[in-house]
Amino acid sequence: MTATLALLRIELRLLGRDTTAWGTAIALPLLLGAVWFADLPPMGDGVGTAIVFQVVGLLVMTLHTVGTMSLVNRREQLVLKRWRSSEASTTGVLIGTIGVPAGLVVVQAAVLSVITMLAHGQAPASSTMLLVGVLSGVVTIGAVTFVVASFTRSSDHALITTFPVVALLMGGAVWAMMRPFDPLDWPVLAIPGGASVQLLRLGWDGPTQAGAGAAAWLGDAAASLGATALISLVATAAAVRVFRWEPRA
Amino acid sequence: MSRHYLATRSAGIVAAMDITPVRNVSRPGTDPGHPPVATPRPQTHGDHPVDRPVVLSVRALRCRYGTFEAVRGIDLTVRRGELFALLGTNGAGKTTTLETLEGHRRAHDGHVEVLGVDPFAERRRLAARIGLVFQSSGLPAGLTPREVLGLWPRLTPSAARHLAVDDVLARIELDHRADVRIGALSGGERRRLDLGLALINDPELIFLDEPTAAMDPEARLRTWRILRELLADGVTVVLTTHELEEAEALADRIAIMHDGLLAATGTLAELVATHPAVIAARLPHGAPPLPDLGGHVEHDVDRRLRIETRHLQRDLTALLLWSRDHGVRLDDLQATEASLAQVFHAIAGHGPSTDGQEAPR
Repeated sequence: MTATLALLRIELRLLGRDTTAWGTAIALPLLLGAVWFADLPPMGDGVGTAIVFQVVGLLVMTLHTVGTMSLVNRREQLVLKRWRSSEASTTGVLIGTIGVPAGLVVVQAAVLSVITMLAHGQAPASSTMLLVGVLSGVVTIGAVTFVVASFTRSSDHALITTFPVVALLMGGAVWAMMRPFDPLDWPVLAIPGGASVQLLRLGWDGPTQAGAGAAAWLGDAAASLGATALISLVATAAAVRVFRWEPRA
Repeated sequence: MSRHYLATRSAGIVAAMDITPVRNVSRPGTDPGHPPVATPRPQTHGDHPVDRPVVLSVRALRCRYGTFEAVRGIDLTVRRGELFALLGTNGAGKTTTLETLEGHRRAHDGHVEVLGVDPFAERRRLAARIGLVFQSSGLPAGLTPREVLGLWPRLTPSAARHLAVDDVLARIELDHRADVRIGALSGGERRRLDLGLALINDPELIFLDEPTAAMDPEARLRTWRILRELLADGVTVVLTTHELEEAEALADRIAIMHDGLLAATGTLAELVATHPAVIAARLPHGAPPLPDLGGHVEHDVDRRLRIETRHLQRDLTALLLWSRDHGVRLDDLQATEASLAQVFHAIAGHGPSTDGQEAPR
């Protein structure tokens, strides 16, 4: 744990020194937030939809694309090999490397969602469930990112290899939002990130059984949490088998 | 290790018969019967290298990349306080072997034990006890040497002792560059930082993959000095290098890899003893027949004489006596002991002479 925290601190320090990266990380949600405050037509029920797409966009850009490039760059430069020659666990090294973009997604999503809600004067049914939705996406897409990084040979190659997940996640989100919310919508749950979309919708709109207590929330979230766990575990198992720690592997 | 070398351009060199053209091939403390005198190693066990504990043992190691077998069954043993140099052509399997010993790669077959543990299965346990210098730095360009050296103790908390960052910076002579980003360091400075990182947790065993690549001659000598100090402290060093001079200067034992096999292993003396020394000279017109020399004798059309011999002193003496007795002038006379370069090129050109097993000598 000490080693993982030390790696996270180093990654955070590196991010802090990369003015382009942190500038983008801060500017992106603030610029998007400014758009919501601009002279746009009232969104009505569309606020929840906007938040879902914001989170999916952040998962795609900040976590998947940047995360894949970051892992590949560090592998090419033997940084991953160097960290792995320490006492840090394999999981610790990977979390240390991708932890910063993952954390950024959570912070950016929170900032962006708050701005959007303030701009339109609406609040979610459950902020906690919104956060669970974001975390679900971070876990699933983080695991998928390790798999994609495994067979990505270079940073340039990452522009190609990340595209299928980008397309699947964005397209899947659009498709899911066109369907009425159903907690057991298996086709949506089967898409990586689909469960995250379901949880975000649940967090914004509330459970299907109005007025019910925690059991209703949990009932509606259970399938999505299960799908998150299953896809993440499968992706992690695949990554453990195929992840390459150095270019020569 | 200096090469004793005899070269003369004139005849009448009987006085040179006193020259002993035998290289000083054994480092103190490494040759049987030659106890440590110049580089005492207080932490070693016993005077003789074979009395020291084994810190690294490899048996029938095989490593593959897909269907390509990079290492095809090698055996080797390294003992405490020894500097073991692994030489080889590009693609010979040196780095793959080193990575397997470091715990970065799983052996496809065979047995590997480093400091008493399986390095792949117990990578984290081993990390606190070894130091590594990779072929290239593997350090983020945005950090400074001081930050990287300060970070490593937190990444190896189980190490028995961590050296002070300032002490390490001074030792690798980077104290004046301690707060400069790694991206702004020269190639040689980065290599010194790599070495510093390998030293920070006061390791028992250090693996160095071409440690002096990109260093200027002065920095190389400084690095050699640090390695000698480590050896004197009982640290075991395993290094790969393309610099034959480096292996000659530092190594207690040398292994030459070729095509995934260990083609030769031994002390420098043992390796060069497998190759003949050469006596060369130009004979005058009408020179009488040569004496009966043990080595292989060749003449060319330009009256150049070349004798390959495993008894340099005996045959050189015989030749010089013959020259004196017959009044023959030997122009451009040279007597040269076999060199590590000759051994290396012979292996690289012809492939391994053994089945890859560590040659018992």
